[in-house]
Amino acid sequence: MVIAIGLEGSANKLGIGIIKDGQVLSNPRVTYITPPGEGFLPSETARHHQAEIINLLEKSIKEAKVRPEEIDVICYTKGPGMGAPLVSVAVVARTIAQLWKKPIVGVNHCIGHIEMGRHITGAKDPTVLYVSGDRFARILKLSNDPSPGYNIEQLAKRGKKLLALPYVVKGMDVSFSGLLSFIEEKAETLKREYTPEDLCFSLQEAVFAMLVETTDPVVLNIFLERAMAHTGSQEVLIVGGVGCNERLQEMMNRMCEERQAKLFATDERFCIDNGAMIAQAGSEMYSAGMVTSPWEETFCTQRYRTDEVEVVWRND
Amino acid sequence: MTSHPHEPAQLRVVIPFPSKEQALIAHNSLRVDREPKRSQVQKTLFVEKHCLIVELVGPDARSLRLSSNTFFDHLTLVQKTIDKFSLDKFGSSEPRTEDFDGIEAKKPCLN
Repeated sequence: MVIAIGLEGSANKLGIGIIKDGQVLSNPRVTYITPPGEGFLPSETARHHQAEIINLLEKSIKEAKVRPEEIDVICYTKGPGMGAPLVSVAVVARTIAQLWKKPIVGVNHCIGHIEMGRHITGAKDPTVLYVSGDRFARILKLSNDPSPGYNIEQLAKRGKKLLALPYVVKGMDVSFSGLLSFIEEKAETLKREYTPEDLCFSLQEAVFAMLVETTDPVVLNIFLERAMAHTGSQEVLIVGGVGCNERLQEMMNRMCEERQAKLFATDERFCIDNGAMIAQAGSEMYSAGMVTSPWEETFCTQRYRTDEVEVVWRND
Repeated sequence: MTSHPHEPAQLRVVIPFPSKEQALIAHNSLRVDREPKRSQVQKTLFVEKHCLIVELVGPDARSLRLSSNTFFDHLTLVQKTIDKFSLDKFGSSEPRTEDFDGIEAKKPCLN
C-alpha cells in the first residue's frame, strides 16, 4: 500500500495531489492566469508558484487527512516544461523529502498524464494521443481561464466560416507549428475576414482533421493507424489539456468505432495539469524500484522526451 | 558604472540557520540546480557549522544581482518549507527546543 504525494508546476498550473493505493485523496490546484492575449513568462510563473506552494501543500495534506509521516514517496515533475517554475517546485519537493526522510522520484510530465489516463479509464495498452493547446489561444487573445482549450472550443461552437489551414506531417510526428505560424503571421488580415469564432472553428477542424479521419485528406489519421498497427493496440487514450475537448473526443470516437477500437478519455480534473497524476506515475515508478538517485539526479530539465523514460513498471 | 575588465565581481553571503541539520537540508535542496545557460555566474554552496555559505562570481554587478535574486527566492522557499513542514513542528503551535550544542549555535559564522 503506497501513499504518494505529487508536486506539479511545469507550466502555469500548480498542483499538489496525494494518492493512496491508486485512490486520489486530494488534488488541489491553482492557476497563474495572465490577461487575455498574454502568455505566461517563466520568471512570473515561478514567482506565482513560489507564492502559492506552501499554502497549497498544506491544503493538499489537510484534505487528504494524512500525516506527513504516512507518505511513502515524494514525487515531483522533473520535466519537460519551463525551467524556473520547475525548479521552484523541485526545491520544495527536495526539502520535504529530507524533512520527512522519504525517497524522491522525478517524474516526466507527459508520463504523468498518460499513467493517470490509463489508471482512471482502465485502458490496458492504448495508443496515446497527447494534445496541448495554449499557443493558439494566445494568438486570439482568449482567456486562459479555465483553460485555453476549453475557450477555443466554446468559440468554435459558434463559428461558421471555414478557413483552410496548412499542416505538416513528418513520419510519425505531426507539426502544428507551421499552422500556428501561419495564423500568427496573418492574424491581422485574417481577423478582418473571419471572426474569432470562425478562426477557432477552423483551427479546431484543421487540427482534428489531422487527428481523425474526416472528409478532408487525412494526415494524422494515417499516423494513428500506423501507431495502432505498430503497437497492436485496439485502444486509444487522449490526454493533455485539449483532450477535454468534446469535439475531439467525438471525432476520435467515430474513428475508433470504425476500427472496433475503444476510446478512453478523462475529464478536466486530469486532462489539465495536476499533482495527482505525478503522484500516480511516481507511485508506479517507486513500486518498481525506480527512485531518483543519487541526489544530484533530482534536477529539472526543460526538454524531456517521453521515450527517454524506461517503462519498467508495465509489462503488458 | 565601470568594472575592471579582467577581474570578476564576487558576492559572498552567509546565512545562519537554527541548526547545522537545517543548514544541511537547505544546502541539499539548493545545490542541485545549475545556473541557467545564459548566466555567466558561477555559484558555490557549502555549509560551515550552522551556516549556509554561497559564493557567486560573475563578470559584473548586474549578473550577480540576477543570480542572487533567484537564489534568495529559492532560499526563502526552503526556509518556509522547513518552518512549516518539519515533522515536530507540523501542526504544533509550540516552537521546539533545539537539542544541538547551544554554544556552537550562538557563535557567529563571520570572523
